[in-house]
Amino acid sequence: MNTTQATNHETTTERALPLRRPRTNLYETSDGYRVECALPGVGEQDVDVRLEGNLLSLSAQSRVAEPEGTSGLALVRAEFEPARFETSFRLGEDVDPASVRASLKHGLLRIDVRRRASVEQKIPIQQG
Amino acid sequence: MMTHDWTRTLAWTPWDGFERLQRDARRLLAARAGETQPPVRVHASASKLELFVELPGRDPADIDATLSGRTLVVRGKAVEGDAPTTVAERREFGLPAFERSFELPWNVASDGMQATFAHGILRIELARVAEERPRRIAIGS
Repeated sequence: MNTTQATNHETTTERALPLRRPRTNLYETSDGYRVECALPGVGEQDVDVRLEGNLLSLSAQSRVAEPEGTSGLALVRAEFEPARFETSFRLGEDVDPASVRASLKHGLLRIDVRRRASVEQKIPIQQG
Repeated sequence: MMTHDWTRTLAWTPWDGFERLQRDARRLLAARAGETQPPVRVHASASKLELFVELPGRDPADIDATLSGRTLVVRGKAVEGDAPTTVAERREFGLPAFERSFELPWNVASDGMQATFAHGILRIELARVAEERPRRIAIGS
């Protein structure tokens, strides 16, 4: 949420947020992996993606402008709440760390990781 | 064969697999319901209402919010993802068509509607028509 527009609102960043595991789609292709995570309310500055070895970790925090207590508005229905998102995935041993690409659009994070190119080596067979 | 680990490393007990299956089934069922009935968060007062709808991955151009009388309908069309050709996959969500409707407790002013979309959350602000707002009556002595 754009906090510059929400001058009469407080954001939830400073408060302790509940932990939530994001809904995730994982695809394994012939040349790598794609991970999609639903991160509603999360902006680019509020998400951290790391690849350590083949462990892909994600942490993020949603920013949802909440009405101030003085606005006279009361919470009457809460089917979701601002949250911290955390999850991790162990990918194949052959991931290429230099190939990681991540993008975030409309609260959907997409991470693409390629496999290292396998090196084929022909083994000569000697005549006995 | 996929080589990823989806669960944290915990001490193993014979019930682990069963409990994990139950947990995953509950979560996936709830997630599927949330795709066609996206979750909302509503703040309201006697004259104003703010509605937040979780719609991650949706483009605002694919979302429609309509007010008819006191009925607010938020709907969106199905979005075909560009999923790659896979050798294996695990999907926990999609972007099917969705619709939710809400009966408002009062009529909305003609200029009292505003909707914005940021980071996958739709925010709709509605203001009550002025003639209907409660007015304080001064009591003379």
